[in-house]
Amino acid sequence: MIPYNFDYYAPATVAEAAALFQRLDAEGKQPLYYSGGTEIITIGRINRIYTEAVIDLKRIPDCRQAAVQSGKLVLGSALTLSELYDSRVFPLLGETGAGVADRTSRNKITFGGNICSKFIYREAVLPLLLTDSEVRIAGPGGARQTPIAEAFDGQLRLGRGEFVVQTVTDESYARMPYVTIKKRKVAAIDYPLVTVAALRTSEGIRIAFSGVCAFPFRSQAVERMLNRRELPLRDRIDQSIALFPAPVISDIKGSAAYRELVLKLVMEQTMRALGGE
Amino acid sequence: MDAHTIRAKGIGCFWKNSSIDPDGSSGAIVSFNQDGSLNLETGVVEIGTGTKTILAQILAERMRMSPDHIHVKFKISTDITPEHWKTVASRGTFLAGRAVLKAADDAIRQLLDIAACVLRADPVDLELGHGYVYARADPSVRIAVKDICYGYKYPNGNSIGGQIIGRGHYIQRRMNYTNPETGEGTPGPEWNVGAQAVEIELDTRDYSYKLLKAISVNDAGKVLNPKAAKGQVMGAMSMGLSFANRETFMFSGEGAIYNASLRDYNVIRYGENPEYVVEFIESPCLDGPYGARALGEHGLIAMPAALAAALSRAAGVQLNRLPLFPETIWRAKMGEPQP
Ligand SMILES: Cc1cc2nc3c(=O)[nH]c(=O)nc-3n(C[C@H](O)[C@H](O)[C@H](O)COP(=O)(O)OP(=O)(O)OC[C@H]3O[C@@H](n4cnc5c(N)ncnc54)[C@H](O)[C@@H]3O)c2cc1C
Repeated sequence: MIPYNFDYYAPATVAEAAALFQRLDAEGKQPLYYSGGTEIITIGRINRIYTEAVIDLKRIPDCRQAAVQSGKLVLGSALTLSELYDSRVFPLLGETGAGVADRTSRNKITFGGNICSKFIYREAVLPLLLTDSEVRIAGPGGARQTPIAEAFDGQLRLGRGEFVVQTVTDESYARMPYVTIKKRKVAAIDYPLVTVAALRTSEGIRIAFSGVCAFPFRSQAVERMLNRRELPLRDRIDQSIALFPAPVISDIKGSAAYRELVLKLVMEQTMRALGGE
Repeated sequence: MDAHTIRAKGIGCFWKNSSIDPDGSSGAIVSFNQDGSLNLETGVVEIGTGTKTILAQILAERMRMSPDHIHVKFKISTDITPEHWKTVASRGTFLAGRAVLKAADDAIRQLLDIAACVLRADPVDLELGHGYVYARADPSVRIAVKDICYGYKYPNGNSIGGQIIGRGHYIQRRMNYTNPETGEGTPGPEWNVGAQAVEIELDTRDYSYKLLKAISVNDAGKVLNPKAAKGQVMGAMSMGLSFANRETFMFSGEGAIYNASLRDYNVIRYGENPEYVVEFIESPCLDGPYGARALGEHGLIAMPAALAAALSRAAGVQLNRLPLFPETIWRAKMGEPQP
């Protein structure tokens, strides 16, 4: 049971959603954008999130879009992870998203909800980081389109009342060789011990991580090291881990030492699969 | 298998005695309907064990009738349903089964008494079966159960008897408390045994492993319902493996639980189960209904030991802590302390 009452709004347009947020916020309702709702419901039940009004984004056509427009893949934030996987429009994204939770949950969990999650994993952001995608963000102050590298630093930097409408990805990326590997503590369905997603472009291999540090990331320094093919692969891997933006985490899924062991294996497997040895 | 994959098998044995309160009893009522069908009422709570199906089979066997004509009461009223101590300890079929047999015998005695009067025969010469009470030596001397189970009416209207209601109960014989000093005592009746094995495939790089096959051979005493018995044991094996391979609470230094929800408390899911093989041997338990032995919990018991044995062999290190997370094996292998 959710121990508090809240109002439910289902706006039909982006502008309506933003205006609603502004009004409800001014009324002190602590509004939340509501997409798949799985996080709001499950965290709400244990009192770790509070709101008096939710603004459902699923009725807004822009948030449900999946289209190619002049060479750009436009994906709405309210598409579910199952829809992204089944459509095969962007296999790297579809498959990385398919590692999240279980199929039944993914039928509800959305792309935008995953990226804006309070949990540290946000695995669906990895493909966006790898492909230098852009994020269409809207809010009471209007709309903007921002490169993911600017908008995302561990988590998406959104102004008050802003929400993700769509992501925009250069279509050519959808045809490049990729690898996405998720390792869990023991179960077939769980948060990651280590998730690695990687892409081979003409300039080299790009790689992004979730579950390893306290936030998902892609790092230029790490990629530069990994692409130094004059060095033996294992040395490159060891040295690139030293360049991570934060310490490898220790938690109930695994200690830092064991995570690092698994991480190295996955990185090696990834590099080899993409011809990066 | 290859440079970093090892297949191994482990085996474990178990014995278990169902220790319960020495006065834990079970009761049953069987009552007739006008058409000769029966109602069966016991306090066993059906929680997926299929016990009530078995009890209907036991009753049908003793009454020599089809289980199709037995109406099993599923709902329990704590006001009037006969007491069944607890639906625990693999005692459902054992305790309630014996109570049902006693209730059936009580009903049979009443049927034979009234039939003896109608047929003008000694009740010891009569037998119940196939919806009739008949003379054992001359089955043409007979009366239908439906004509006597609600009393018998003579052609002139005189009537005798009434609705037949059989009652039964069972309590385990000569149970006593264990001596707290010495541990001596008889807290439970029969011992039940079995052997179980697990085959795994270990990846020696990160110590992750696959559960390939699990086998259980239990002494069932007498298998009363093959599918139910198999299902019980298979379910228990899965629980045993889940317990051995992942289920645990993790605590902070202050004793707070880190994984208090099913998000983080993992159990084995359908796709993760190995192939299961379940077989039985039958050495009857003389106290059990039709020789049946306890089955409910027994399929779980040796699974952790069997898994640990298989993994110990594959990893080349003694594993004696549960659950057997890949990291746990890695730590044992590295000689690192467990967290
Ligand atoms: C069983 C289970 C297992 C999980 N396992 C994983 C896993 O392995 N890896 C992983 O990465 N995640 C995992 N998750 C987390 C899940 O991906 C997130 O909780 C995600 O937020 C749920 O998406 P949703 O659409 O239901 O979000 P909602 O509940 O709708 O929203 C979540 C948060 O995001 C905000 N939000 C939603 N949409 C937008 C938007 N368009 N713009 C701005 N803010 C928005 C909401 O206001 C809210 O704060 C798991 C969740 C469950 C239930």
